[in-house]
Amino acid sequence: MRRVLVVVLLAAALPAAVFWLLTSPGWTGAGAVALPAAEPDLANGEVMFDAGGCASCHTAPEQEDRLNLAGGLALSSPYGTFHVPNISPHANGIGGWKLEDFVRAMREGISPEGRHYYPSFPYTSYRRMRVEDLRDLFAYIASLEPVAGEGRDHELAFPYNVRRGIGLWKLVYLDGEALAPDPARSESWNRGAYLVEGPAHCAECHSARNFAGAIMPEYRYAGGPDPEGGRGFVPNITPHETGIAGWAKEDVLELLSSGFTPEFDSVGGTMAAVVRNTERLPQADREAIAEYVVSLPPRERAPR
Amino acid sequence: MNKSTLFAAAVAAMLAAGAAHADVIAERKNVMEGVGDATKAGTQMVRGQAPFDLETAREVLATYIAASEIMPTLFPEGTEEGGETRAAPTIWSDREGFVNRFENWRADVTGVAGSVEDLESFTQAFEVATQACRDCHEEYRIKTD
Repeated sequence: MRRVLVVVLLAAALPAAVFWLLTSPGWTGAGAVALPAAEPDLANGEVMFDAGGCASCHTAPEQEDRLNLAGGLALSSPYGTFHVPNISPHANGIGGWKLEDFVRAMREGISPEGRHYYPSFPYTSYRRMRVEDLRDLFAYIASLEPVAGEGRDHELAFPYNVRRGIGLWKLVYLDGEALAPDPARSESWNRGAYLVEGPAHCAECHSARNFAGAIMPEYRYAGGPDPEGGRGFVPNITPHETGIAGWAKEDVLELLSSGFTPEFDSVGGTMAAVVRNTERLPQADREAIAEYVVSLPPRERAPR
Repeated sequence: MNKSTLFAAAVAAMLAAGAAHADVIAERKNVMEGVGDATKAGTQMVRGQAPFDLETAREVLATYIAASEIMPTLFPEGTEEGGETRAAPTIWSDREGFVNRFENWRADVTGVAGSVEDLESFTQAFEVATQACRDCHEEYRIKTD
């Protein structure tokens, strides 16, 4: 009888132990990176801040200052509501963080306390950022006004509320690949690829996702249902006839500069906030993004 | 530039809108397309891609004023969906805010329209007049392709 009990207990404990191991934040991610010794470049940090769209989610709602990073925005999703945290240099935000904490958060989606972040924080893209750019971004954020404000816990349905489960998700969906430059392409194309795939995280909204909330490669940049819900549908930004076929690089550049499409429609929804960031970028970076976007492989729009 | 064809669709839509609500979704789309055409004409003049024409410049701003008056009437209950509308539910849940946007826009455009005499004054007026586009679309339009 006692032996049976031990076997039953073991049978129950083993999967739990495997789950615990596999979902341990220490198991995933790229491991330690060498931190750059050079002084941070605040101007480049600001470019990364604007390219990364940090303000669009982390700026406190119902006020005008886009550099007030107290958080508080409620982001709805198919899994529940995410409450955006404070990332200002305050004790309630990232005021006590070291650079290595920031790099780990951005590249591995792990908090300084060793908890997984939900991929609503797009580290799936930010992980491609160069460590020098992360250093500059961290220094830029640290130069902004500290703002008090404790965040709220996310309100998610089971099983998404099991934070350790993100460890499994990362094992399956967080590709460990760095973004390799394409020597056959121009320098500006490669700059555009870096900005689009890394900081600007365009694919995070402009792609359809599978049941687990991961981007489906065949619909990367091919649009998809609005992840924030409702009747909205995020457009296909590949040069397919169901997307932006026929757009010149100058058309994408215009949209990123003024918000106007070739029909002189002003982009709406959350893209309006994106343009508030891209209009601040150096012209060469906007041109690089446009060059890369019109070169994307044409893909048919994701089904509605 | 042929102004009469440029803005004909917008003006026709605005006149028709008062008469019937039969296809109100199509009408509000026509009005906004007229606004887009006006914005294209204005942008081309401001950027020197088209010769400046004072009459066209005034028509651009007049199109905005007319649209600001008719648009709030084109979203009656029951037109929340259908016709591939991109109208956001916030138009109906926040009617007052939605109507205020158009009133503020009209006040902005009216305030600068009278001073338009040449390319320089039009450039300044046009910048003021087109500031409202993005903020309003952000709040009151869903994203779609």
